[in-house]
Amino acid sequence: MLSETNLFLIIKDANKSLFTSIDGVIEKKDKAIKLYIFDLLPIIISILIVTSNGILNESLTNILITGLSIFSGLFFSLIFVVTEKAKEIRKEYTESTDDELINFKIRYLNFSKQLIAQISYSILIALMIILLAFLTKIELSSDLIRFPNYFQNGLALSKLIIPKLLYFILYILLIRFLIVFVIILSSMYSMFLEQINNTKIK
Amino acid sequence: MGQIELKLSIYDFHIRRTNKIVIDEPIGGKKKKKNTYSNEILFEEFFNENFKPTINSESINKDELFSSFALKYNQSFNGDFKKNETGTRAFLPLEIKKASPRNLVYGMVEGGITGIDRSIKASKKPKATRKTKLSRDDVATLPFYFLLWMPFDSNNGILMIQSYTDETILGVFKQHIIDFFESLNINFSYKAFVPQKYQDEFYENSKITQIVYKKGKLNSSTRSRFNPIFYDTEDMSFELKLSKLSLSPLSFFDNYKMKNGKYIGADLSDLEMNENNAYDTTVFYEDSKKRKAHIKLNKSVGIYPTIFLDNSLKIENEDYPDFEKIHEFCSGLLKEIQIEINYSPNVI
Repeated sequence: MLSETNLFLIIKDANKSLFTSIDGVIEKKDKAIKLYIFDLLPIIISILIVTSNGILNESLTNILITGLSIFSGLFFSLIFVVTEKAKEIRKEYTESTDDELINFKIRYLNFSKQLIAQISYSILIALMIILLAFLTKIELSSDLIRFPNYFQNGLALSKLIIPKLLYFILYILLIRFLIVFVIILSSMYSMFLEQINNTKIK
Repeated sequence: MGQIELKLSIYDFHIRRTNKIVIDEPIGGKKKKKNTYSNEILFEEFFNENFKPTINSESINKDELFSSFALKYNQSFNGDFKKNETGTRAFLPLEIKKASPRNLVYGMVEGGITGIDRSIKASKKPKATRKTKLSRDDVATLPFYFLLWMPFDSNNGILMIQSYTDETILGVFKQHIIDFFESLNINFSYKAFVPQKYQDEFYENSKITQIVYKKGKLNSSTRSRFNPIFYDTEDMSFELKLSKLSLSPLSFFDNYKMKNGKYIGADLSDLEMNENNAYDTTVFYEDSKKRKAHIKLNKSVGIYPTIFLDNSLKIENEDYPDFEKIHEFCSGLLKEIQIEINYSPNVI
């Protein structure tokens, strides 16, 4: 079971969806935007926050964990909504022979697959953020075991570095979560508008 | 059977509304009609505006719209052959079909040379056989296949016209379709299109056998410098032909441009051919079956190799295309083109 987990597939598909159009075409422009906005920008912002000693206090961590838990729950139910809608479209257009209707069906299913990958990815990120937020609050102590001196020094250094490293990763994931959240929101907006207006997804 | 090959020409076209406006001439105050083009329109709008069976039809039936298009297109001939501007070629539809779900109008036309008296003779012992005349009003016809794809949700269509090795109705067919759309106040603009797989095949299987550099309209001093006798020959052009070549297109196009950015290293400034864009280049090639074709490397460099169709698309023991077979082939090719031009999406 463990060997069959699709976590890497979720990460790969979600990343790919950020620069692939619903026509299944890899857009060079979007690939560049993804590199700057999704890959580099969170790293830069995270470095800036960590180097200026920006840490989350107890109450902020609690708010973050609570907020992400709620969104993760909502996102889980969203996956079912998107899947149901995709099933409906597939059924509705099964008999279609018109080029434009067949194309619409393929585009819609592509859109749904991308949206599901992005939602799953955001749930995964939210879980990782919650885990990291817990880890940043764990106090490392050397009182229980007597380590040799050189190890004590290493532990002291790691006490300084590990929290910074954890915060660095946490901020990167947090910014990425926000970006994916905005993308999902705009995709959902298109989907619901499509349902109301019965127009094509752009 | 014979040496005759079937060829296919593909055009990518767009339609736009034509607005005829009357403008005043700046001098003399004369009124003059001028065509202006507004934004491109979807074929759905084009069909709804021009091919509704009855003006008050509320429900739009795509099949009826395509039938109406096919009918009007057929009627545009008035039962006569349509001739080109010089009156040397003409064509007339034989059979027009439609496949509205796939947005297709396709069929066979017959056409060929006309406009001059000809005698028909047997190639062997012509004096022994009876002489037949073909008058200037007659048309020596061959059947040609055509396909017109007009997707409802786009403004980008595809036109395919089949030709023979040395026989074509491309010019007159295109001119007629431009005029037909123009009569509906629609501007029909097109450009040649060659699917990527044929371009790749050209690169892989052909040899460049000849390159011709052509310089038109040399100025008087250049002509005089070449030889004073040409001083007054204003329309004189100059061609530099490189023949008996056997170059791989792939390496040729990769290395065509030299390090200094020029295509010709020799000093040809005496012929005003020192700049790349000062002359036209035509590349002649021959494929593995010894079939010849040529491409023009214009300023917008595009590779448009001739698409030769397989002999299996011909009627058995004849050189004419088999309608069913060629249609099946072209429909399949169209599906590939639809993906190539980003009309049809790829399944993720």
